Amino acid sequence: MSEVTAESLRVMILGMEAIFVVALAFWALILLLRKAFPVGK
Amino acid sequence: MSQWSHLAVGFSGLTVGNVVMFAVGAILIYLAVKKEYEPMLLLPIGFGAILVNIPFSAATGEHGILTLLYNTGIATELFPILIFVGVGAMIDFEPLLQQPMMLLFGAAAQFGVFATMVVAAMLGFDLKEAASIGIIGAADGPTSIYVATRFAPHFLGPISVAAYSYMSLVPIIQPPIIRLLTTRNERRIRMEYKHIRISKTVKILFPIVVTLVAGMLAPISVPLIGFLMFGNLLRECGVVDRLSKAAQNELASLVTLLLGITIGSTMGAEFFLKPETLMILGMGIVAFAFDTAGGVVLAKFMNLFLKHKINPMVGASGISAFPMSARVVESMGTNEDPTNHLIMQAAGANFAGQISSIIAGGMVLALIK
Repeated sequence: MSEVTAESLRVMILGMEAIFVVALAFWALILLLRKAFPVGK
Repeated sequence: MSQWSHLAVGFSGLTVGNVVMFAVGAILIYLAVKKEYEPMLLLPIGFGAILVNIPFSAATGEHGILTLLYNTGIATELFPILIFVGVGAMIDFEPLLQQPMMLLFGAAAQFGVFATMVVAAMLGFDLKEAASIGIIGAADGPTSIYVATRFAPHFLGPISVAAYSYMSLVPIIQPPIIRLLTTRNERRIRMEYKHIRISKTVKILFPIVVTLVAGMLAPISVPLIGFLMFGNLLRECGVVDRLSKAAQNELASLVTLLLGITIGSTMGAEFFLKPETLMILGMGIVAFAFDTAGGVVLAKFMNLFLKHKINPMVGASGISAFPMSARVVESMGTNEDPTNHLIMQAAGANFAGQISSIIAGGMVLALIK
């Protein structure tokens, strides 16, 4: 495996991990916002 | 006679490559006009490709208007960023705020970005070029342009053409992959949709908080996510209706026009007619296929643990191509069962894809030095 391919695999793993962490963070954030600011308040 | 030869100087400089590029420009214009494939972009790109291939054209060169537009709008990243303001002002995030779980599908559908990057690296592209090719899988034109401008400006033309063409071809690319990865019973799964009302405060706070969180995690993504969310804030705050409409209409239209023709101007025969162009166009399809597979496979995996099953087709809507992908899923769902509507869930995943594609762009920029 070339150095570039190995590096691209490393970026893929880190990138997908980071995107899922951000997605989970945004999910929690939306639930928090909905809870803190319900309709009518 | 010598005066005539001076007037016909363009013919004397014409090459076979120029003629081929005239044909490429004409094909793009044909696709835009006759097939209505992303006409707002493909038409100006096609015309730009013709302009730049006229030998000795005064529109190119050091002081040409197309060079000026490239240097001020693309090299500085101004045009794609301004497009984000318009896109943000057009997006209603309510379906996503109602179903935040859909963010997971937006994340999974970025698999195409990274998997294609690995494929491109294996084919011999350097890491920055491979990342620029992979970002076609973001299914988001401005993000592709933004990343390619930084990492591989010499491939900007084919990457942009691939990104915009394949977005319009989502109804053709996605269904066979979805069918391949799902059973008929899975495609018939019904998903309950509960309408949850979202307060105006949440809609206003969402773009601000997302910008802060994404910006803190990857500061390099601030121009992308920040301007998208700025456009969305204009829309949701309710007090700058004129600015919101200007962003959605005048700003988006004007910048799209200039962006398209400027990208077309990067398609000179000497840059475009290379084997790499065909490879990039091919890998663009691979990227969209991996995106689709990523979303579908995650939904199937989640179904192993969930009591209320997810229709795996909804996962495929996690790509950024809105609203085509959501419509594809709705159409496939009603084909299997005319009473099974998935449009709201698919729209939520589609909006999640829009945010996730920008995050993916930011991650690529942050992780590759």
